[in-house]
Amino acid sequence: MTYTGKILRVNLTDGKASSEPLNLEWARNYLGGKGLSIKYLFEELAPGIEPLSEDNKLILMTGPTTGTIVPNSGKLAIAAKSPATGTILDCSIGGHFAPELKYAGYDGLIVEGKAKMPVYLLIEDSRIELRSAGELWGKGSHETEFTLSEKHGDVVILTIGPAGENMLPMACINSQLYRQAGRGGIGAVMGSKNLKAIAVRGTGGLKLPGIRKFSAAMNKIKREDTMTDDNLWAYSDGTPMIVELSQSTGILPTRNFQDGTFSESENINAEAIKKTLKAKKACFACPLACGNYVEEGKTRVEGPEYETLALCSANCGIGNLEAVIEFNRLCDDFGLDTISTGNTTAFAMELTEKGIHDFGIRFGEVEKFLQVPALIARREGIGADLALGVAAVADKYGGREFAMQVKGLEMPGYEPRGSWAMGLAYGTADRGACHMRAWPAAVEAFGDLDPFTIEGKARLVIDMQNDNAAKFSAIFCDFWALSTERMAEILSLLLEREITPEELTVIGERVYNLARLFNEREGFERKDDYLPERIFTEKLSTGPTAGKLLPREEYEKMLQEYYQLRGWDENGKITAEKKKELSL
Amino acid sequence: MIVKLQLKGPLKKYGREADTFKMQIESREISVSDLLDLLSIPTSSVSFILVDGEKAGLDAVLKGGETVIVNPRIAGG
Repeated sequence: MTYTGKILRVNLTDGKASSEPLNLEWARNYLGGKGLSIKYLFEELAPGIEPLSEDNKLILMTGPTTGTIVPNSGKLAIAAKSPATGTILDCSIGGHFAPELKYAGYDGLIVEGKAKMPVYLLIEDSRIELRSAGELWGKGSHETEFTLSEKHGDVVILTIGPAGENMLPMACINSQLYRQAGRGGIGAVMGSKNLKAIAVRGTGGLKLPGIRKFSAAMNKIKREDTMTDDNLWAYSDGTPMIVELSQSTGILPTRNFQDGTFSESENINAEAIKKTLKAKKACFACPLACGNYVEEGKTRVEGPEYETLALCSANCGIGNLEAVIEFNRLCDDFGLDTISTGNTTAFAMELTEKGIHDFGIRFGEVEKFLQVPALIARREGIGADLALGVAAVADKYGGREFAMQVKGLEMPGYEPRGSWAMGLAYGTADRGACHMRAWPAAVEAFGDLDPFTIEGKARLVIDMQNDNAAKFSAIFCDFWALSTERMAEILSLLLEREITPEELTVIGERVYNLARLFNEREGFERKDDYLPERIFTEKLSTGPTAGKLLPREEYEKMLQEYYQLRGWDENGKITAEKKKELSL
Repeated sequence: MIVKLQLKGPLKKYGREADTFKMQIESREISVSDLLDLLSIPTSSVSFILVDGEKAGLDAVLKGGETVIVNPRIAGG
């Protein structure tokens, strides 16, 4: 088995660290990553706790594939109760932290309590230390990483920037400068605990069963199933490729989702990014290397990824690539999620243009746009309001019908009026509007399925959510289009027992339902599974989606069918039968 | 007849490794499906095709002068 069998628990209140056995029954039922971190949270958090209090816990979890040569297994899950939404929150971050934690001897790390003063956690194999972060507090995530790397040498670091310190609902956790656990204010949970950074170095290894056979199998899989047409877009272009796909199908959010095409999309598409490309970068064990190191003018960044291009460029009406790259760099350094930051900025622009509230910033205003990340991260000027996130800004000033969020989480870069199942995916995603729980745009807008019908869409979204829940628990990167059969084959080799695709589907369903149960316990129900009014009532006006909306009655039908197929009741609550079936 | 082609991302290898190229076809018309065959592009590798900016099915017929963009399948988002 490729579990280390140990969980490291660090209590920041009393400064004590302890190692405890991994709960193997939970590992069997939830695998690792997303599933296992949610299970620990579900069991350890009392219902109704305040996410920014010391009662919340931050859980970092690897999976059975972590630290091995399994392709695309470099991800780490980081989970907590979300300060942005009050829902369950699990994020996924690439880079090299996850294998390093495992080589230090741990499957996962649970951080609880709150330090009296700013600290960072240093893990060097079994040596665990809390050190003062007084001099790092207030620094950007980039300077923090450079400082800690210089001090401790070959460590891998997770850090927050000022946004996390100031406990913003859009604060992310950064690693290796440009990788993020981005959503739901996961960085604010670290900030609320006075935890500036976690640095880890592991010098141990993993015992793989039948290494020769395993190695040969992985090389074959890599050759035949990873380095193929289905996946190599990640290397040839990376996510900027999606700009052109979204633009040509009319689902590129533009000017706060007022439209689905952007007149300056050619400035920000994959071809434009390639002109600024300096190097490619990969996470641990990844042969696909989706990361693009770019340089434009005086700015260098790894990115911008599609979500940043959609939300911070098209959605803010900014067609100047250099400005978007600089905005991206600023968000990374301040520790801001670019999806929520871009979305909230666009909302402020529309409120201003409509005369509802004057934030002094309009679509396309580059200079003011570039000031936004610092203002938000420091809660200064207009940033004091924008730092609240879209839902709270709407509560304060109005515009709720075009505040583009679900459950309080800002919507990512796919327009649901041009991909109706995407609307259902946003509505039913466990952490609020999220494109990573299910991404049906791939087969609707970008595929053969009619994007403007509800036929079969509930089933489609459920299957994708369950498959992804298993995939993120195992733990694989979502850029590898691997089948459940392939996942089962790999896990059977690693865990030395036969795991079937059917078992993985059940695990995925169990994980997704446990996340729902967490939210249910926090008071979430059917009324929270809806999209902003704009999606139901305002027609798009340009491109292939001109004249389209997602009629409310069609959404209602889709949602109802979704609940039925899930085994949930009319109000979206999990039935007793379903709980029993999934051993919840 | 001549069609203008753009093969995106990893599909570029099935063409001339150029962003855009023109292709002479010895026929008065050709279906999108046959065009992919001619280029040896497996349909399983294709997400969707644009003909003159609009989504087109495999059975769409080209008569010459069109711009055809072939997009690869992608996962994730």
